[in-house]
Amino acid sequence: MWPLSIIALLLILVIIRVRDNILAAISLTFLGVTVAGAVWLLYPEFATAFILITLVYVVAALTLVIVAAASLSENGNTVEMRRVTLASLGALPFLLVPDVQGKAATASVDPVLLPLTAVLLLFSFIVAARVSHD
Amino acid sequence: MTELIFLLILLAGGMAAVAVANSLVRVIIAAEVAIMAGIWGAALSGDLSLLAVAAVVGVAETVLMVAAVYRLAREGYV
Repeated sequence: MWPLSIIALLLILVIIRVRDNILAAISLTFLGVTVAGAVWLLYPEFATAFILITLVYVVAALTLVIVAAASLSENGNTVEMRRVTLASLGALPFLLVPDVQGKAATASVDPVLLPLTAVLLLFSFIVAARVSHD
Repeated sequence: MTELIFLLILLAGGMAAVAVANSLVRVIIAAEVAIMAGIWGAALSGDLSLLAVAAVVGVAETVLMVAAVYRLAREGYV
């Protein structure tokens, strides 16, 4: 798990430091593949989840590349969200949460979830179409 | 312990990337990093159903944020 943490930290630093939105989106894809690989290492029976998360982030990063290519202009000043940085320090008490025990993973999806998630995706697509094409 | 450190790297790293972002596309990319922390947290529970819900919610919010950025780009804010 340590090499994956270091890879994730380096990819986040690349996202922060790089000046190009397209390179940042590509780094996001590799970060998604890293997280999916970490899931696979933690529970080897979640091989379907590896494919699922990887596909999600490849699609997300491709969409972001298109958006970034469509809007290449950047202004010099940063978005002022200093409080968000301070709030991220609020995640530190999570280190006190007891560690994960090696319990058996349930590697099957509840079939009730399928119509619910389909309805959620349909709703978000309808809202997205309304927002972008009114 | 390393699982929680991985979670903290994703969460705090995403928020730090939001804080230093200089365009709205970069804010969305950083929010995706934080969403990945949520997917990893769901994976820590060892339940594939919870992981599937987290991944689907990640897709839904990505669709909504990208649609919002298209709208903002049309109105000249990006």
